[in-house]
Amino acid sequence: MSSETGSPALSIRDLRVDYGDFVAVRDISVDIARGEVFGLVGPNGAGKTSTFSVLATLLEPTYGEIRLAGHDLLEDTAAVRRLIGYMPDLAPVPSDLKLREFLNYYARVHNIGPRQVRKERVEEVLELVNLSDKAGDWCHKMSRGQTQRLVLAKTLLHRPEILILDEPASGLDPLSRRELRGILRELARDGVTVLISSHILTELAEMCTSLCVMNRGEILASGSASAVRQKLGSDIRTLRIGTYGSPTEVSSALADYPGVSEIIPAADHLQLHFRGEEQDQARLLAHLVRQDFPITTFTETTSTFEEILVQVAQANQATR
Amino acid sequence: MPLSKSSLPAWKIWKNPIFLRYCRSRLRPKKLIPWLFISLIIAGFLFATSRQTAVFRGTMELMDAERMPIFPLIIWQGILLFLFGSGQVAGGMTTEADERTLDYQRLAPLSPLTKTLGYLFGLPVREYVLFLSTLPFTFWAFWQGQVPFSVFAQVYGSFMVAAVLYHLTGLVAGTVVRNRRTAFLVSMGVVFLLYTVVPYASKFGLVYFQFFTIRPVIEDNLIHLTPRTFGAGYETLRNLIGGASFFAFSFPTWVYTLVAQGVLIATGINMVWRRWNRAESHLLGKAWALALFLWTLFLIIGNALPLVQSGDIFFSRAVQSGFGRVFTSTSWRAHISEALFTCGIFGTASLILMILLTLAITGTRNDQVKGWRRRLKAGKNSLKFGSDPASSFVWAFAMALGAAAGWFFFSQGIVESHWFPGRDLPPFTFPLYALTLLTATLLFQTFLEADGGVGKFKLWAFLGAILPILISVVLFAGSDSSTLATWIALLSPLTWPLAVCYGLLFPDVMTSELIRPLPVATLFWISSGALLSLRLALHLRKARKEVRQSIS
Repeated sequence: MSSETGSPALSIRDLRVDYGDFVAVRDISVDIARGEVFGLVGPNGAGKTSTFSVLATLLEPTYGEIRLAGHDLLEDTAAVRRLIGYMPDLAPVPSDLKLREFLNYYARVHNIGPRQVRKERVEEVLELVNLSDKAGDWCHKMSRGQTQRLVLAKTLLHRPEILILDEPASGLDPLSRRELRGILRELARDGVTVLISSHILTELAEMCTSLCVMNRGEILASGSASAVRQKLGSDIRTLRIGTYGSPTEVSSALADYPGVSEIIPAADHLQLHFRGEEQDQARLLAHLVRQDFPITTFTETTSTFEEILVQVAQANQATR
Repeated sequence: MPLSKSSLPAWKIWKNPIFLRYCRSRLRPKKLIPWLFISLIIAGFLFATSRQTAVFRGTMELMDAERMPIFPLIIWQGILLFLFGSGQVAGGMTTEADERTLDYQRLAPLSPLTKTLGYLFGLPVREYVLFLSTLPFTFWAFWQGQVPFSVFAQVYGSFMVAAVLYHLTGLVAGTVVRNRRTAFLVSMGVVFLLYTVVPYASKFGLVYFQFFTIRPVIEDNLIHLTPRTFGAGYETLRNLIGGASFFAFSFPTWVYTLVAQGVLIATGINMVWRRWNRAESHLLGKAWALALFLWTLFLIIGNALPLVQSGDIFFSRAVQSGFGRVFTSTSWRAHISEALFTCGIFGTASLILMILLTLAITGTRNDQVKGWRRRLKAGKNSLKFGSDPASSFVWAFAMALGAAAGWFFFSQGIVESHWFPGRDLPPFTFPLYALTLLTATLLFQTFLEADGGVGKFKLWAFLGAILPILISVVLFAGSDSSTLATWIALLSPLTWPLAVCYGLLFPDVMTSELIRPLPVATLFWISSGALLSLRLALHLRKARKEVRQSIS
């Protein structure tokens, strides 16, 4: 099954989803290029899961034109299903199958064959998600993290061109999250288009090449992280600057620096708000280095970005 | 490049991934072997006791004695495949829904038919194996009992088709009912009803329903399935039955059974197919529902009318003749009140069937809103005729008219038969039938569609249709309350067909206690119902307009 080359991986035009009188997704349009890692973020009830359910062919939209790798989702559903891999939120597994049987079953569903090829592919994905040693265990005996990895393996079995992951890290411990991120990065490097949704922005900001913020069924902003930040009306970043010894000198030096405000010094670091673009942030670092301050770390915490989402969610609740 | 290839053709069941998945999970030796052991012990016990008793204690010949285990084995096989199998299908489907793994199947690149067949044969695979394990005993009994192979083919052909039909009811129940236990009970309940209640329905003129079971085929071949000493009486019976009568034709019973069940199987597959294709689809399309309804009426009438001549359509004759119709008393005569009662039962059965089909084809408000938005976006200014979001009013109307025509034809066949010389249906019969069924059906339809909620509808359906009957039954039990009981009973539209037949067609037939209240109450409630349904129809029109206007 090959998809049409040249077309975007995903093109959505005027997508709308209604549940009775409630509008879950309101006429959204998005284009996603091939090989992109696209993050869909928004508070609960923003319309992320509805959007992903439509893209996964599980939910029929009220209307809208959706093309995945050139195939019309509503007209050519079978072709789309062969191209996509979908992992739902809190992905379930059957209670009556073992890991290898579960994967073998879905390999058959995708008509991956002959038998030897199917077997090799099953072992390959088990290896990829680091579950080879559990292949003979019952699916329902897996931990939350192992279950997520198993379902990811199932999702990757047929080498989908487009991966749709709905809140893939929910319920995972930090170690499992790190493993998941590693796997997704690897897939993105291989040219797979990844669509990932989350209400935790920090989860997405690190790995996504583009972001889209949704609220109450509408897109508030989309594009690169900084473009989204700008669109949402806040270009203030929170920076954490680690110092060797007391940060007092650094704090004084930055007091008059353009764009810097609310400096909070601590024992071995200081935190400040900085208004500016990424290149301005780079200039600030260069300024500190030139002055020979003993800087150990220079990181942007995403808390301000999170704050934006909190504001969005609060505004959402207030207008309900 | 994705590895996923085009899906397999649906008919290659042995390669169907869903079928193979259940072969894997349901045939694990750890669970299969104990069941196999139990099944074989029971089958062996039934075989041994019935055969040995006949061989060693009985006086019959060996060939006859060898036939003795056939019936007990069929019953055990029926329990395995019909009851356990259907329950397993319904329970298995709801388990997948509960575990949320059903969504994986939805996006599996398999055709809806492949998925349907995969579940249909995969979920009860253990029951099929258990059934197969009992067959050696059956083969022995048929072989040693010198039963012709054609009989085996007819009985077990019908048996397997019935199993598929019942499993399909389980599949539909599992697809519709969300609770695992309820789905399990519903599917087993359907099988139970088919073998207990439905045979009685057939004694009230609804003979067609007995072809949903394997009883007619078994009865038709009774002479071969039992020892010849038992079968002597059945020979005459078989000659009397002479296959399935349909208007002026007579078909072999097994052929007619397969056709009757085949239509239901096609309908069941259509239901599941629709749900697999679009999760939000109604169980039946409007055109299919109308066609199915008219077809069912056609078969009911076609089966019933040939029985008028002999009187077999009347319950009292069946009671009098006891088990076999060969012993019927020659003094028996059909009575007009029983004929009217049979006609009323036909009307009520048609009404219930219409209500069930209307429930399946009527869209919720959500369906309407979505449908309108979709059509307006596409630049259309009306809903597609016959689509799920479109109104079911016209279809319910058509069903009611068709039912009235069928009811009239059925009544005419009975009342104007040789049993009641000089009696003709009054000229107002068809308009009266049409008014009754249109009023009752449209009351349900308009309330359901205008209000848009099945939950509320169920409550009102219970209060308006069932409760009055229950109260009136209690009142009738008291000797002085028949007038009040009649008025209360007729609150329920389900009683109208019976009341119309019994109370309005031939007043001379009524008993003295009903001669005053029944016609008045019938006319009063049907007229009131007609006015109310008209009012509800206007309300429905307004409600649908409001839905349309609420969409910008």
